[in-house]
Amino acid sequence: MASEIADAPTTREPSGRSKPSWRQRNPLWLGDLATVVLALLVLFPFLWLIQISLRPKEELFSSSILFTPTLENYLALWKGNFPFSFVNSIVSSTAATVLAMIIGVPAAYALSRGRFRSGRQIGLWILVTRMAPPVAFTIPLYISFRWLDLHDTRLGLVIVYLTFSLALVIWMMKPFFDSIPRELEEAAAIDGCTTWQTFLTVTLPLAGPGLAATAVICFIQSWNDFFFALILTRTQASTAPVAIVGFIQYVGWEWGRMAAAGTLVMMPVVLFSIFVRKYLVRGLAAGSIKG
Amino acid sequence: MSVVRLEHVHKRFGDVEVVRDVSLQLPQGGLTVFLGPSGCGKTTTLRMIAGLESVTEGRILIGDQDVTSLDPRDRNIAMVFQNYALYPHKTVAENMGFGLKIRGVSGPEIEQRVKTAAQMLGLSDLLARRPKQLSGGQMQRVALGRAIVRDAEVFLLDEPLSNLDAKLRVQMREEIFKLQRRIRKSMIYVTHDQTEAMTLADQIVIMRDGRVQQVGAPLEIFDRPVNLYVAGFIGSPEMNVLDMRVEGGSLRAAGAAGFTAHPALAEGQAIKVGIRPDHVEVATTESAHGALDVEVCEQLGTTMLLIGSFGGQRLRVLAPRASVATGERVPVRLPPAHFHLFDAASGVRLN
Repeated sequence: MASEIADAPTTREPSGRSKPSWRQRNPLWLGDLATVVLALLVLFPFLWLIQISLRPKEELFSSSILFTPTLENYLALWKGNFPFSFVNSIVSSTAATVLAMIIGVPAAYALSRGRFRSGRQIGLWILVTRMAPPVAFTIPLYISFRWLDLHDTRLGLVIVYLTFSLALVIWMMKPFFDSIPRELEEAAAIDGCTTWQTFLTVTLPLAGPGLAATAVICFIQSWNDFFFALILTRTQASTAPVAIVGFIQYVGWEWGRMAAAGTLVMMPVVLFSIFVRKYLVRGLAAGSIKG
Repeated sequence: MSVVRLEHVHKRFGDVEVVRDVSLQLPQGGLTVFLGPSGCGKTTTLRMIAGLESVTEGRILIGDQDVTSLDPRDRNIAMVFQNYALYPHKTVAENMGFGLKIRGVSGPEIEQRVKTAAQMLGLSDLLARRPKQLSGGQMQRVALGRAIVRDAEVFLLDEPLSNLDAKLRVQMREEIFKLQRRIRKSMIYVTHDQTEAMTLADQIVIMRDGRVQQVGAPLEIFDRPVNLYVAGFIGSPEMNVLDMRVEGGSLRAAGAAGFTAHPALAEGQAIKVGIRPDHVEVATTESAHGALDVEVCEQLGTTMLLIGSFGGQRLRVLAPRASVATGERVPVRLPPAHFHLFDAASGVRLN
């Protein structure tokens, strides 16, 4: 995805004299129409989910678009166990993201700047940790978590998420650091900075878009995890995505509550992305050009 | 008194030796230019003085202090980088004051010193801007400003004008000259442009392949280059070099009359004779030493450069403006008083 954004401007034919561009050959509204249709197509499942969550129980599957919106599904969620799971999700994802950034960002910087032997191999081995399918780790994780008393704890989830996020942070941040000219750091050194001062006052602010993009992706990855939360938690640390499955019961499927919970789980990700959208695009593109 | 001293400094990157046994003394308050083609080790030497590159062997002293293993921040130096290296996320004022801020200077004093420097460099109206909003010349000034607010002992400039266009380069050259004469700080200036070196320097250090070739004042080097390399590097248009041989007590070249030989030369010795194009004279047929077959005739405005063959050897003559055309044969005189004699094998100066 990242490379597509970056490559788009370079691979496009220069809109020149010889060949009229798509824009010149077609009326403007055609492009707008195509955009709207595509957007609706992509957004359809989300919109469908949201409207279900607002329907009263009786009208859940009526084909009419007209219904009286109600918050009864959300209220039902609020009274149940869902808020607890939601908090678990927030705590474990946030903690994993913060820790991954704190550990991973300096590591990426060191890999980018350090002149040490086998730096490439170290980078590669960090990536290798992501190559095996996560399922492969389930049994060892489950057994060791039982043994370490980490089963069904938030700390346990944070540790699992951290192992995956760390590689992501290091590999996303390294190209950002690579693209910051060394001269800036040398100028800072001459201006009187220690290595840490240079990193904190010059390098890190310049990597800001990259930090934002990385943190968001990191958070979303932990937030969206279903598999590990399902295996490694039971009641105390179960997360929101796992809680949604709980609405599938013997007596029936609680569609309204599932939709409401799904909407709520989606919200932080959507808000977060809108909030840092500018940095996200810039960040992804900037990183990919260099990497 | 010397402000910077290098003692037998070497720099190796793996097996490649880029700086070989450089020993130098740079005068207090003077402007020293490191001059040489790219890859001659001049920038590496500068970076070793700055502390951005480690010294493989030897010592560097600033003032009386051995700084060989000190961090850049402990050396009391300021530096201007080739691509300016301004912090993109800081304003002009913040860029200039950053070094002071890091060193714990108080806010009002920083402001005062930045203001003074900005005034000196004509940046007063730009203090709130960011580097992105500046032109090349302005960025260059900010980079200079960042260096001078610091009140460092030595200023290091690494090809500071190479990213500017020709006209701006001349203008900034003048400004750097005036600035240096005004603040009287020791500066080390790295360039591959001999015009910059000639116009700015109190002292030029010419380097080649990591070795110092010659150290001296600009005119000293121009008048008495120590070897063929320096002779060819300094001066524009380039010095002519003619192969001659000592025969019967006089210097002879193919197609030319004999010249009185220097007494120190041995009979039969092969000599390379250097003579600057502006010292070769277009003469009357009687007084001429030989003839130049003009192949190229470049009009330079007040003068004109004739390039052609002199008895089979290439010769450039800077002649007064006249109507000479390609293909003509022009009688020329080579006044022996202006000869630079070099040993043909080693290239070392003989006279």
